[in-house]
Parts: sequence; C-alpha cells; structure tokens
Amino acid sequence: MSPSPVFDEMTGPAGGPRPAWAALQAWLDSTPLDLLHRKRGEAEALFRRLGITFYLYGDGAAAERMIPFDVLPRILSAEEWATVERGCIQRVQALNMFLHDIYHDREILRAGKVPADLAIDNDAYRPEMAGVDLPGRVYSHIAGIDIVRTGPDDFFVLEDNLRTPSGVSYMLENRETTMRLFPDLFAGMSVRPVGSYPDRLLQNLRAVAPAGRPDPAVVLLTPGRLNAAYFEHVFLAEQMGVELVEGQDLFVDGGRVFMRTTGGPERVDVIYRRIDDDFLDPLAFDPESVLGVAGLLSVVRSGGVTLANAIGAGVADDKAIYSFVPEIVRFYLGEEPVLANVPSYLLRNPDDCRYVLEHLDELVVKEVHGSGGYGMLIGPKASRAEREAYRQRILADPAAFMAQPTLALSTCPTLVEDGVAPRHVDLRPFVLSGETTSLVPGAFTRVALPEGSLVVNSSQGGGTKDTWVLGE
Amino acid sequence: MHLRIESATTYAYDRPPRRSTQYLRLTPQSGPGQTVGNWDISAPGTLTAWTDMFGNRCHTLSVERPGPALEIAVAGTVQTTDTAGVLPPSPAGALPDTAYLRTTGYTRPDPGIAAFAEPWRPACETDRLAGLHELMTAIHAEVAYVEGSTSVQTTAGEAFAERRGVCQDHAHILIAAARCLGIPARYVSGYLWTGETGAGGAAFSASHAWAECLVGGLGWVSFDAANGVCATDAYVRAAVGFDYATACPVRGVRTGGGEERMATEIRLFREDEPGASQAGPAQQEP
Repeated sequence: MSPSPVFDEMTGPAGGPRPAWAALQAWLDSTPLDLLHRKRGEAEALFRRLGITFYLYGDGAAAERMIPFDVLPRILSAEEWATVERGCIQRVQALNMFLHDIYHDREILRAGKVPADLAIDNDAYRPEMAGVDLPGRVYSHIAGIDIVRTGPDDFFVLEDNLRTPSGVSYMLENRETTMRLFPDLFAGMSVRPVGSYPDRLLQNLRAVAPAGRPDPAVVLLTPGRLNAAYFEHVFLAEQMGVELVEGQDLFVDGGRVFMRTTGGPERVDVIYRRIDDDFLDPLAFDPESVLGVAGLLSVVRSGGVTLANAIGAGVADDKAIYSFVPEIVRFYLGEEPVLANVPSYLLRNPDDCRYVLEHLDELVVKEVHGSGGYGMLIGPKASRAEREAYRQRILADPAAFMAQPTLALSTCPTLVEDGVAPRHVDLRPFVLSGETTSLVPGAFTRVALPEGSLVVNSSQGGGTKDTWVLGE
Repeated sequence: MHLRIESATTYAYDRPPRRSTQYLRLTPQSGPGQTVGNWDISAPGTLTAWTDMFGNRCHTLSVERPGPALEIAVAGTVQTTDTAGVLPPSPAGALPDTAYLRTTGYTRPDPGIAAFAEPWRPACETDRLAGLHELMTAIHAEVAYVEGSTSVQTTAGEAFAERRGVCQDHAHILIAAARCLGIPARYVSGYLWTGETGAGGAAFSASHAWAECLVGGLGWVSFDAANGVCATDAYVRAAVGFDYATACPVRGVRTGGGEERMATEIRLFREDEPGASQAGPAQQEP
C-alpha cells in the first residue's frame, strides 16, 4: 500500500458527492447546523432512556459510560456492500474450516501453510476441543470482521473477531435512532433494513442444535450485569425471545444441560454464550469461575449441547494467525481472497523485526495477543522518547509483537462542535453461520472523533454511526 | 499380573450441598500393557460416560441433594504385562504431540527446574531415552519422597524449591523439566502394586502418579521419578493429562452447603498370587 491522501467516502474525484451520497449531501446543504446539534441532543436523550451504556468487550475501562453517537449516517452503495459481503462470507467460511481442521486432522499445518506452533502452542487453542464434531462444523457462529478502507475499492480486513464479538446492538439501535431523527431523509433513500438480525441469529442458532431436536431451546448465557456488554445481552435475548441466563441458572445432568425454571428443569440445546472460554466450566477451565456451568465441557464433547461460539474459536482470530488468513482462504476454498489483509510484519521473524525496528516512525506496532487499542505504538504520532521506550519492549520479547503500516483510514462526514467535518471510520459487519453463512446488510461503524485520530476504539475516544447499505 | 482394584472416595459435608458435579477419570482402558476385565463405578445420582481430549474414559457425576455424605466406589480387574515402560505413539487424530509442551499451572517453567534440567539437554539431544533416564534418576535423588510434605495444590516449582514431595510432585517436576528441554511430557494417574501387603505398612500407597515422555521412534516412555524407575507390569494406567488437574481421578464442584471432607481408600489384590493384597488411603497422589 503506498501512502495515499485520505479518502473521504462522500467526496467523488471531481469534488462533488459520490452517487450514493448525493441525497445526503443535498440534505446537509439545506439543513441548518443548529438543527443537527439539536438532533444530536435528542439522540443522546433517547440512548440514555434506553440505557445503552456499554462499551466494547475487551476495551478495558471499568466505568459505565455511553459511546458517543454521530447522527450522520455512513453510506455504502450496493456494489460496495456486495464486495464486503462476499469477502466476509468467504473469510468466515474459510476460518470455520480452519478451526475444524486444526481440531481434527490438522492438514493445513501438515501442508506447512500455517506454522504449527502458531496454532497449537497458542493460548487460544483449546485442546479440550480436539476431535469434537460440531453441528455444521461451525465454530464461529457470530463473527465480527473489522474492516478499514483506504480508497473507493480498497477494503482491508484489520481484525477478525470470532469469540464473543459485541456491537451488534449498536447496529440495530443506531438504525432505530436515525429513523426517528430523520424520517424524511431515511424514506427518501432506499436503505436496506437490518431489523431481521435477531430472527436470523435465532434461526442460525437453532440450525446448529444437537441432532434430533426438532424444536430446540436456545438461551443466552451472560456473565451478569457487571459485564461491559450486559445491555447487549439483555437486548438480544429480548429481541430473539429467548431466556437470558447466568451460570447458576443452568446445570448438567445425564449428558444434557438443563435450565432451572419455576415449572421444573427444562433442557437447553443451544447456548449463545457471551462469557469467555476460561469461565465456561470450573471443572475444565478456571476452577475459581462462578460464571460457568460445572460439567459443561463433557456435554459439549459428547454432543448434548451446542455452544455459540464454540470453545477454542479464538485461535483463528489471533493476530499471529491473522497474517495467514489469505493463505487459509486459498487452502480451503481454492479462491483468491476478496478482501485483502493489511500487510503485517510478525516480529518473531528476524527479518521483519529488523525492518520494523528501522521503521518505527512509520508503523503501527501492536501486541500479538492484545486487543482494544491498548499497548500499541502509532509510530508517526509517537514522540522519539515513546518510540525508544517501545523499542525496548520489543527487544525484550520480539515474538509478542506485530506491526502494520499506518493506514490512511477513510473518513466520513461527522458532526463536530463547529460543523460537519471528515473523521476516520472503520466497519464491523456481523457474519452469521449456521445452516448457511450470511450477513444482514448493515454494520457497526466506529468513528474516531478527535480530529486526525485514527483510533476508533470506544476506549480511546471513538464513537458510532449508523451504516446505511443502499439497495440496487 | 492380574490385579483386582477397589477404591472408595467419600465426601462428608457439614451441611449438604444443593448439587455436586464431578468429573471422574476412574476407568482404565485396555491397550498395550493392560487388559481391563469387569469394571464398575457406583455412585448416587447420574453417571454419564464421555471421552476427554486425551482419550480417557471419563464420567460426569451429577448428584442433586447428596445428603450428608457421598461415596463413589470403583471395583474391577486388570491384567497387566511388562512393556518395558514403552507405549506406542499417539494415534492419528489424537492431540498433537506438541500440545504436551504446554505450560500449565502445575508445570509452569520454573527457573529452578529449568536450571536443574539444563545439563541434560545435550544428553537428551544425542540420545533422548538415555538422557531422560539420567534426568529421572537425578530428580529422584534430588527430591526426597516425604509423605505429607506437599498438598494437592503444590506446583512443580514449589515442590522442587523444597526438594521434597510425593509422587504427584515428582511427576510434575519431571514433566516441567522435560518440557523445558522441548520434550513433550504428560502426567499419568493410576495404581501401583508395590508388593507390600497389609494396610499401613506400604511405603507407597496404591494410588499413584508418574510421567510419560515422548521419545521419537519409540513412543511414550514412562518415568516414575518418585521411585526412580520406568513402569512395569505393577503399574495400571487410569488416565493421562497435561498435569494433575487434567488427569486426576476425581474433580468436583458443589453448589451450596458447608465445608466438605474427602477421603479415598484404595485396595489392590493380586489375584494371580492368592492371598496377596495391599491397601492404603490416598487423596493426593503419592
């Protein structure tokens, strides 16, 4: 990727709006700024009333707070979406095949396409899942693929989230909100609906129930109200019409999982779990965990219950495995990846390490196992002293780091204090796998609100936008 | 050898729990070196068989309101032969061998153990089998067998620092040392016929633990660092794992209730030598 000027998604080559954005541009031209600010106030009040106060899982900060919502939607044309959709489906299909393979015959490791140690010695590889046959061979039933854009046709996958990705409630609530704030603008454009997500999620979860269960029972397992994404758990359970349970509500007996109800125990077939692998079963993982269900692993291994996502799915979204995903797509599907990776340097390779240390001022360096935008170095923005301190960290344990070029993330018009201005964005579509792999036409768009900032993580000043995918 | 094994694990509760859930790895499987005859587990509640990641035959025991006490009784027979301590490599489709290089809580690489193991690296590189024998002998000499000196929670590093422990600790230390040298190693939980009959007098009670290390071209070779020997036909393998936590005979959690006390009594009878038997209590693996 050559360094390029920042691509603004609204602005066409001649300076006017690109076709998908023309209606929004016209509307902006005729809408006074104070109306937009007033609408922003209304949106905030709406969110407060709904109690949407969570932040992204793994983003760290302990206090409850609201992620800022930008009232201006981000717009993707039908063709742009088609690329994203095709690329995400391809990627998630390949990653599910990879997961099945490394928990079974490990052909890709034997073929030398992925270094065996990166997969097997990975903390996220769960030997407990070795040899387990899952319904539909699906490991990541709900995947969030983080995508960045640098040009009209240049979409790159920044990160795969295959464990318990959150943010989909924003996709749905942001849509509700923009429809309320700007009904005329919305009605004037053919925006594809996202409201079917909960139904489609439920349908996919039921599709992976253990065999012979014609009317499977699905529950959503939450760590409880102290969890960062608790709001989303409540929201999704309500939307799907399934029980929201905590570990203490479930028990294992006779190779099955049961839910305690006032009417007696009821069998549970599929658990949409929003707790980490480590806490799922105190008899198999962290013995101190009180969030999970004792005996759950044994039921998973013998096929009496399906967990979504599966235990051990995280090994495929590790930053070290990430750089091999294009190869993974080719290996299992025999296709070229539709969505490219951001070029990456793995510092475990001495050549890469040398290059990165010589170009610290140009690169973004991250911890291989980190998440949430913490502990990273943004070379061009860092001071000499910060780069020097980071160099020492790298030298202490090079294999713990990876680096990528700083990308000129695309921008979208965003309402800021003194008007509408371009701000950098990324995109997280949610990919559902069960009987088939599909996406609802929409995504969670994160926007870096401080001027010039490239970090969209909510913990680092990121906000959200509604994402409008236009029909044909 | 033809051995009959009987064990009883008893929990006594101050106040009965609402539910007790346990993973039991109490069922030896037939394979090279051992043929299992009748084998029975009896316990209150529901017992459900399953197979874990290592291929162990496990049971999940689920007991609702077990009352003031809960007993898990095991009885069966095993015919053993001496394989000179060697078992074939893992079958295809099993856990990859490199998984047995994993660090676990019990076998975390400890600077003391790493430094102790280091001198055997060259020996293990030229002749892994001979090197491991020397390493086992060295650990056997270095770490005293002292009953009651450690607990079921003691890690390899802690036991090594004290230079004493029981068979569980010797196994963990050897596993940690082997993994430091890049050699896949696993924990075996089982039974040992010591030949010393009569209750109480046995230097080693009947429940036992040792290690197996992977030797290329040969397979998994057993090393009992507590006794300084490789396994013979006096050894019965019940389960393997990365460490005690993943191979232990009984692991449980309970909801509700008060304190619990657990006791295990194991009795071995040698049936091809009538009259011989041995017994001993064992909670922690010696």
